[in-house]
Amino acid sequence: MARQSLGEFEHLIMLGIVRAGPEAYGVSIIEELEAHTGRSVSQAAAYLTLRRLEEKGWIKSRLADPTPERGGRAKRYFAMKPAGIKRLRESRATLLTMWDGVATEIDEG
Amino acid sequence: MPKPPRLATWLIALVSPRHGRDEILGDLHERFLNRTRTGGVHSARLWFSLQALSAVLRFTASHLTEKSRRPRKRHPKRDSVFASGVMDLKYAVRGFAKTPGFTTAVIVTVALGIGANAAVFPFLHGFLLRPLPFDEPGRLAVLFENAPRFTRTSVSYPNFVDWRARSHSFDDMAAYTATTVDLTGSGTAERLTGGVVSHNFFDVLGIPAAQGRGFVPDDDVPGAPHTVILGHGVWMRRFGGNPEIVGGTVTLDGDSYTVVGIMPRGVRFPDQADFWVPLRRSATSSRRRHILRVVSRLSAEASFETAQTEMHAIAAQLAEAFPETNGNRGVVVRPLKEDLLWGRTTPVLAFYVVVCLLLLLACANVANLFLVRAADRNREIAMRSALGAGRWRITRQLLTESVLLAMIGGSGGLLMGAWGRNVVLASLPEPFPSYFRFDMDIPVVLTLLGITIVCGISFGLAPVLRTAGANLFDALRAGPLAGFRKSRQHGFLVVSQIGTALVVLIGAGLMIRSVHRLDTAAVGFEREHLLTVHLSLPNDRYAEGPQQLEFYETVRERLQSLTGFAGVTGVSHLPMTGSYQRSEIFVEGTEAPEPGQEQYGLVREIQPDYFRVMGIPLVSGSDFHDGIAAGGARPVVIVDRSFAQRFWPGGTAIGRRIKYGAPDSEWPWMEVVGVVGNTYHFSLDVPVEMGIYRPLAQEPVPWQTLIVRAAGNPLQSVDAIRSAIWAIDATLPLDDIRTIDQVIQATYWDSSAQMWLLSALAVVSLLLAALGVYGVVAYSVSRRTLEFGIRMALGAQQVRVVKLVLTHSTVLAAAGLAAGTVTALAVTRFAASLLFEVRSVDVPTYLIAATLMAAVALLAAYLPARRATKVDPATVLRSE
Repeated sequence: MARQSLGEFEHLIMLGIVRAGPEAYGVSIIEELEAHTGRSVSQAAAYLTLRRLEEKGWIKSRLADPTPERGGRAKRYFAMKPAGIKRLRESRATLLTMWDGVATEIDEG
Repeated sequence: MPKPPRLATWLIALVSPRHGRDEILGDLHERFLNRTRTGGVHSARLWFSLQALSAVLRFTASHLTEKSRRPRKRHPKRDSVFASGVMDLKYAVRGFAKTPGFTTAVIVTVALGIGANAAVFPFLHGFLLRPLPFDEPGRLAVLFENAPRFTRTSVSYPNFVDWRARSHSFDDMAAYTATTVDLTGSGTAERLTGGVVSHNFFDVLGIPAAQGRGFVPDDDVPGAPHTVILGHGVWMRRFGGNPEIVGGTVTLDGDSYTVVGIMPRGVRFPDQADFWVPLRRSATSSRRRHILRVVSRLSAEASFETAQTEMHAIAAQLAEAFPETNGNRGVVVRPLKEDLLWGRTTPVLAFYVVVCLLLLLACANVANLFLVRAADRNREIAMRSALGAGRWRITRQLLTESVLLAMIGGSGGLLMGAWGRNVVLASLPEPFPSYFRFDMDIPVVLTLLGITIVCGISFGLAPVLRTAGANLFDALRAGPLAGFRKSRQHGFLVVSQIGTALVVLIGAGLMIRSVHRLDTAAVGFEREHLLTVHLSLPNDRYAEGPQQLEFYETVRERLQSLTGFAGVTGVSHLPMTGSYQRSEIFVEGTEAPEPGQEQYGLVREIQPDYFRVMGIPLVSGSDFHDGIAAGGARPVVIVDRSFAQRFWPGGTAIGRRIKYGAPDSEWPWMEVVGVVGNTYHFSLDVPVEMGIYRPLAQEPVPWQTLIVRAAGNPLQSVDAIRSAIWAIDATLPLDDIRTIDQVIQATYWDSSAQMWLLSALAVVSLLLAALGVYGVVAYSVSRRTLEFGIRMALGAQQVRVVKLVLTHSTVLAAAGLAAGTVTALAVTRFAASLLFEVRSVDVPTYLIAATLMAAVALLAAYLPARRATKVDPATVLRSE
């Protein structure tokens, strides 16, 4: 199977999981994204991406007990899997390599 | 704790994948609460709704792509209802694309049906369902006085004061009346209507001021400084919404008023009020002057019935205390809404029934089309059943198709309806009382969508019921040769369509005749070529009678010198404008009346030449002579024929004497010098009341309507008249210039509007019925092509084939006409109150409508019948 591609949003979501640490679940991940990117994140988009990342085998999840501030509904915690961390590292390396040398030209603009 | 919007939550739950539903809603709930804390509950709710929208789009798209990517991954039974629904939808869309004719016919028919409904429903909603814009409007009551001859009269101020002091059924009671003033000062003079109200008026209604304050008791005592509250509209229009105006002054009718407050936008009760001023009345004013309306708020313990009982008792106490004025006078307590709706419930309901009939007609049509299509799809459906599709699965497929088409057509209908509503609103002669609103807002749209879905299900059910009884084996074995069995369902639908259309046609016919009668009815004067100009003289410059008379005299001279006018005159209360003055009359030589038995007449102060210019015939005696003046000359009066017949039947009226008020009143005796013809004063369906005419010279009043009889089109003289009057006084507002015909038509505009609306609906229903007949006959012909081919091959004449087809249609049409006539007889009886001088059983109308309907139905049947004769037997036989 060819290496699966990593979209920008998937990338951001995985970084969100890393940043949120052991408390990574829907709300905390989205808050990380919104806080650092300044854009509003659609719950549906986030859900679909998390599902896809899980299917690709990069992250794992477990269901936790419901809490009252969630209208009595369950929450799902996410955590990185080694394959996911590896994919993030690769992606970062690729990006840094590609960025090397172009930064000043773009900064000028 | 705030909760996210329910509809949005429900939508998200509907579209999200089953396994993720809980966590998605949980996350959103948490984020919603966070947002409520940071940005407030409103922005959070908006955000939540946007999230729902995004969820609908994203999850639907993901479902569709998921399906195409992994079509066989899951067993169909494990699909969510939503996913297989999407499949149904796709399948339906594919089917529609293959039958564009059917699809278009259904969409257009539904759009017509829903469109008519959507044009009328906002009015039903606005009048009957939407709460009035007051605090707890259901507890507001209006109170009237009543007397033996008048079921509802206005209230005198001392009676109001006593009611308010003695009753316990009400939290509070307020009095008000309408008035008009000229607003001068900044910009051109403008005539405003407003309310004269007791200080607690807005407290009773439960409306606080938007700026400044409401009235306080000190504003509402005799001699208190002039204060005014402005409406939002006039505040924006005249004062640019400047809050500084509160505390400043405005000039009304030449007097200076301090602005104490501004009402919120949309508050214009009563009628179209632009301002409110306090009553400032004295409790000792006359009990005979019935000029006020009273609105009250029921207390928590009271009901309308107990309040009525209590007020009865209070009226009895007052009758005992003031037998002269209150003998025989009672009190009527009614819900405010009932009073505001007076006379409107029936037309609104009648129209809604008509558009519902129309919708039924449209549904019958579409059901017919679906039945025809289902017959064509028998084999397809049988095949799907044979391959394992369950009954429920097939039913759902059929319902998905019908509801989808209904929704598409319904959306078109909503747009058409919104347009129709605007047309109806634009046809109103003047803006409707502000407290009725006919917006196409969310409840209205949701109701209409609900109706659309119900329709979609109902006409989708027709083929479902049919397939339910289908025999798989027969359906599969039957080839295209299976003939068209005369279906009882088709027959029933056609009969009901023709019947319904006939009812609407008859209704429209009755309205057309009724309005025609109104257009040509004799009003007591000659309606043609009369132009009317309302004038109200401000009392700062025209306080005294001589000043007023001089002004009117100058105006009349100027206008008479203009060319093209056959006569110029004026009257204090122009017929058909709603303006009137009713005075108690005592006739010399009659008995003093018992309390409650007093005689009243409508009083009009007229300028010279009134009867000649208006074309009112002089029955006996003479017109007022020139030179009648206030001082010295004996007071004279002219009465109308109904007055003369009431008091001097058979004898002469000339030389008799009458006076205003009770027998012992201070008013002088007035001598009758002439008798003239009767005129209608309020509208054509309000009986003539006794009228008396006085020369303006003897009884000057500051308001007059100038009447000009033009030689040609009176509206062409408007500019000339305006400049002639403004040359005398440039500050007079002249915004009420109309022809007498316009004035009269305004009294029955509702009948005209009803006639136009009903005629439009009748055309639509005729069209729908024709389409229905055409569809069924055309289909039957197409199924019997082979049969006709064989018949003609064996020597049948064309005429015979046409006859074969038409016989069945004729039977159906006859049945439909009979059903329609019977229904119309039953239904139009309830609409009799809407008709003017036309009985609901009007034979010519029935005959014309039935003939029209029969002709259209037979034409609709004839077109496909003729096609049957064009069949070439050889071609048909070869094709099988």
